[in-house]
Amino acid sequence: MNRWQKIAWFNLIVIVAGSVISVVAAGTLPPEERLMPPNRVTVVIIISLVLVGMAKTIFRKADKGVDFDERDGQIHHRANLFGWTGFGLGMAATIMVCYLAVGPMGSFPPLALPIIPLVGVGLKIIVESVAALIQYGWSSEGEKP
Amino acid sequence: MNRAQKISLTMVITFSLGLFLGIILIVMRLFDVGIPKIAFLFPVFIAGSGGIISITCFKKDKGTIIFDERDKLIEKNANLAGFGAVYLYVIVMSFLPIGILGEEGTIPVTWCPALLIGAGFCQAFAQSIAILIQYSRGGKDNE
Repeated sequence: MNRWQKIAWFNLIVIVAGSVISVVAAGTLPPEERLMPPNRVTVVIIISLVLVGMAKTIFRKADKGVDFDERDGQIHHRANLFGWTGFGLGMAATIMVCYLAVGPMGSFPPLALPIIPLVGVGLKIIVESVAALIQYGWSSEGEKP
Repeated sequence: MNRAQKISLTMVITFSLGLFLGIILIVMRLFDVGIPKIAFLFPVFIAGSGGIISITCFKKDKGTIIFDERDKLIEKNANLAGFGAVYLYVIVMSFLPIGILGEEGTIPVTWCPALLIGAGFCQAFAQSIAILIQYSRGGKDNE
């Protein structure tokens, strides 16, 4: 398994675990506080994003050999485009959920607005990681030792 | 000027015009000039007309090579620039209402789709500017 596969797996696990934990954390809060940051849900999301940001530091470059060639560049570009599509879809889905939650004539506090890009970023990382793993392969099977 | 440059230039002109008209309408509304809400659709239409003009007026040339590796690289970088701009736009638009309305204010849910429409326009605008900047670096080589 190369460095980029490890990073993709790490990001995927962190974001999925972070999403599950934040849903559980939201369940422990009273309904009126769920969409009102800063609360424990925000803390979980921020920790997850910080961990994702640190992925390249955690999985350091190998001292020898080529770490990133043209094929990697192409895989990254494709994964990036898929990721951004996921970002847009994540935002659209969050807006739909807002509509369903408060109704078409309803309103919500501005503090809840940053949730929209946060969900978008979460979905971007998931889609990007999955796209990279699909292109590289999910495991180290078939790699030369 | 190649096809991509023509499309980008049209987009930049129409979007800038739409943005300018939108700002004028917002300022006029702030001073209670009596602008109906429906008038705000006009700048959106002007901005969106760039896409329609591009599709109908700038057709692909037949029989010649119109897209090589350099164009592909430029398109790739422009895509990323567009998405980066959307990211910034969404973050700014999410935090700006907190500063304007305060923590106790409320936002009607009908405003949310405007965030998506704005993100679409922002992406196309930034992508067009990125394309124009990258082609202009090459000087007359793109002709």
